[in-house]
Amino acid sequence: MSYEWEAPPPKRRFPFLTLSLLVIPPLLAALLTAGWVYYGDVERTLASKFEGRRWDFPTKIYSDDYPIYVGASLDRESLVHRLSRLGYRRVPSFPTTRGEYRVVAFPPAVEIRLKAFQYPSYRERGRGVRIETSREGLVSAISDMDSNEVLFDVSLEPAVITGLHGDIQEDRREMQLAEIPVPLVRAIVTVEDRRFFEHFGLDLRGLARAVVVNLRAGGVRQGGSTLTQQLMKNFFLTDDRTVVRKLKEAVMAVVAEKNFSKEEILESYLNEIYLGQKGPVGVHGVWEAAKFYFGCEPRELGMGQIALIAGLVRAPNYYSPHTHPDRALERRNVVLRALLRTGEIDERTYHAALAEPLAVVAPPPATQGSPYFVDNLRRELAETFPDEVLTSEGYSVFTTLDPELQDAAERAVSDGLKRLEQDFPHLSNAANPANPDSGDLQAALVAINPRTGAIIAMVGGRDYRRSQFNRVTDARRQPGSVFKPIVYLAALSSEAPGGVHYLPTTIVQDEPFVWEYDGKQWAPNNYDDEYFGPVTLRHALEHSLNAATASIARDVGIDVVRDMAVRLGIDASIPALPAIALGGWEVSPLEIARVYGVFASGGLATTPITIQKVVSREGLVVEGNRVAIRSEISPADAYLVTNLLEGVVQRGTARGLARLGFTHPAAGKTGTTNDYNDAWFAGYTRDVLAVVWVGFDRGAKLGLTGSTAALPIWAEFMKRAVGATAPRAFEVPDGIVFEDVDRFTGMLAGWGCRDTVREAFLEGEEVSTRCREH
Amino acid sequence: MHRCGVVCAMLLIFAVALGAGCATGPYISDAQYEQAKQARREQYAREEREERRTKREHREARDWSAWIDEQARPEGPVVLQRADLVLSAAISRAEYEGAPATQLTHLRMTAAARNALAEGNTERALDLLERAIAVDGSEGFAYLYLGHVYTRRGDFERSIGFLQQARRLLPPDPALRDELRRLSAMSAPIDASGMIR
Repeated sequence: MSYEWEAPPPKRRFPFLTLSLLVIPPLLAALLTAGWVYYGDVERTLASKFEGRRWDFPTKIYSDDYPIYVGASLDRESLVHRLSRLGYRRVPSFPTTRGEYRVVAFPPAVEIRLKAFQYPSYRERGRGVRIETSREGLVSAISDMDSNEVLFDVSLEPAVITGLHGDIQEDRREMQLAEIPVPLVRAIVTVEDRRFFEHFGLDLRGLARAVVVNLRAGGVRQGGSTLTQQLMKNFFLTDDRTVVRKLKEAVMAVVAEKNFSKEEILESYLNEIYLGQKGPVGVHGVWEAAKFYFGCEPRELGMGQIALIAGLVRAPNYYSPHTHPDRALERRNVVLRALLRTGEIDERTYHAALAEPLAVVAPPPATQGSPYFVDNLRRELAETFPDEVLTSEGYSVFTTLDPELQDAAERAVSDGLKRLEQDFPHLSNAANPANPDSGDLQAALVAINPRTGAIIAMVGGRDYRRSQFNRVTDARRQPGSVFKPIVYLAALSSEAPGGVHYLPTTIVQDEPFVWEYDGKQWAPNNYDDEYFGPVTLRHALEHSLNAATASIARDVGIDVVRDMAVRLGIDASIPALPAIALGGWEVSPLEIARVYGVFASGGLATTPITIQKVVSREGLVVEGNRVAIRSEISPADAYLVTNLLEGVVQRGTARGLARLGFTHPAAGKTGTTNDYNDAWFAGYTRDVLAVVWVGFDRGAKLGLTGSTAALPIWAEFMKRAVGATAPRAFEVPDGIVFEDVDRFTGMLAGWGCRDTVREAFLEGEEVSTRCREH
Repeated sequence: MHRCGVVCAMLLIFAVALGAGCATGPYISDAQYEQAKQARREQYAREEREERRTKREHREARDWSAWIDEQARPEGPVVLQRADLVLSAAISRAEYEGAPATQLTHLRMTAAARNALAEGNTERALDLLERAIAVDGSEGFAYLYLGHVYTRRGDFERSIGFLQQARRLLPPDPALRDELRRLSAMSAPIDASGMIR
């Protein structure tokens, strides 16, 4: 038997070849695919960044411009304050460049070189104007300093209140490359990336040199980043210093160079580059930097200023001319030397620029902002514009806010509340354990221009950070006696539908009575249960007598009072119940402001506006809110009420106003609710109307009257609002005649009457009986 | 045979009748025929034109844009000639008499707005007029021109408020009042008695 040779089983080797044949191609393919996808991704995001960039602009919110016209009351001190807020520089000599002003002592004048500004309907090219003031504090003449042309009005440009840019607040304008002055472009390229026009996104020579320098120095001394890389960093990446980030940056830079021209990249860079910090807002791009540091357009920059901006690119906050002028100056000179060495500038320019002072404009004060106003604005804008439009279209919203008065309002509210808590310790939150959830003592203030309905200042609460609830627009509180003038107007009005017609001198009974309605009973009582018997209508309002007011309301008819309230601006949900006559129906401070606006404007009901115009980046008015008026009561009727309310300030419940230091002619009414929970004061001068409310959001008792709690805040605000201007009396419309009458009998003053009032009557209604009692 | 004769006779009668008819029937010449044809054509064309016109009228009755365009011409339906005159007279008088500065500023701003309006810059004009009201609310001219602009735009709800106020404040110049009345008539809702409110 022979056995067959059996071949040995083949030796099993590890199947490197097979595996590598099986694995490597797919792996390669996967890698390639991943790389391809990544590349495509980078390309796409780059494209969207470059193309979308121009659309990604925040909405800017401007305050109102400040009109100066012949005849305006102008307080020079407050004008100087306004100018410095807008970044104007005070100079001792004749102002020659835009953004400068000087104050001339004699003859009293202010000379201003206005900044250029594009208003929605015209362009201010930056004229030099001379504003002369008279001894009474009125503007007596305005003229153009260059052409000697006589003007009758100029405006200080509006200030940016804030920007709406998602979460970050940014403030910028995009420029075309052609618009940017060539020396500025060349300076930045020279300083930051000399071979920008030669490399492919990475500068290998520069990189190598940087590596050598850094190794020799043993630390990071020089960066080898190209402009493209810096742009990529600004676009996408965070500020961490890692190798991975550097690599990503490099890849992106190369991709960007492949897809976009040098010009596009440069334009992007000059608009994106971070050049400093303006409070919470970053300063990006050369336009913004020129505005921020020098208060001018880039094309107006001098060589020294150009060198400083170019030098700032490396470390804007380290070299900041605001905080470190010495470093900034040194850096500027280094840049100038570099420019001279590379032949960008000649010897003469170099020396001239070297001799220039830094001359930076002071940074605008970091304002507290006007959070409640802006909040209200956002809400209004959101009704018309979707969110992404507001954060990216670069709209300009021109509002009615007066930043100076807004400041005054905020200060008046916070100071006033602090003082109240000092004087009345039971009000402070700490000393109020009985009501732990009542929160802080709160206040609201709203100021409007009664003739146009423009809201010029709005403080919706004590501290926006702690409570965002806007008490001006959203709080519903009982107005108390602040409501009473509506009752008196209904009684005095010549067009009274009920046929009941009172005069300011009509005698009314101030005594307890019971008002029966719908089978129910209501008994109004006076504060402290003190009754005065027969009094004139004027006396009843000046001293805020409840019983007398209720009896007038009953006589006139409560539905007439209710209709009058709705006509003047109270929400139509108010019922016709007796209690409303004494302010028993809850309203918002803004509604009260509307009502008093009718008295203050001589009978015109206006629609309160905060937004004047929304303008697109192309300068088109996207939305315009125009003044709308409706004539509700006759000017003479309105004046009767104003005249009575003046009496409240002179003799009545608000007579403390003069003691608080406010002596201008004013009309107003205090308000205190029965339970002492709300304190109000609503009042106006000829030009400004303000309503103040003080109280707790819920629960706690205030225990103070309107004249103690609200009046001081109103006085403080109005003192700032009128400044040191000349007092102006209220205008008397046609159809009003004055008579001296006895204060208590309401009859024509006789020889013996010592206590007389100069009373206003509608023409033909003046009293004719002479007082015989005195 | 008999039947054949009947048919022949009928044919004969028919032919005779036809011939007689032709000879006695309404005969028109070629020229007359052409004329009639032409008349008929013209009638059709007229009817078509008529129909087109009513159609257009119907369309336009629904669409006010043509009418509003007409209002939006530089000079609206009511030309404020007298008002312009009275305004410039008021300015010279205020300058001469030394009227309150705010009143003068109101008048000058209104005049500037008038110029802006003539240049077609309505936005600027409205800005100036609103400012004029804020400067001095007791002078009526800015209200008048605001009412004028809004009437031209067809925004009657807004214009009526300004015109009412203008009526209160403007000087009692008869021709000016007439212009104001015509302007108000366009924007005022007319009540049952036909009176303008």
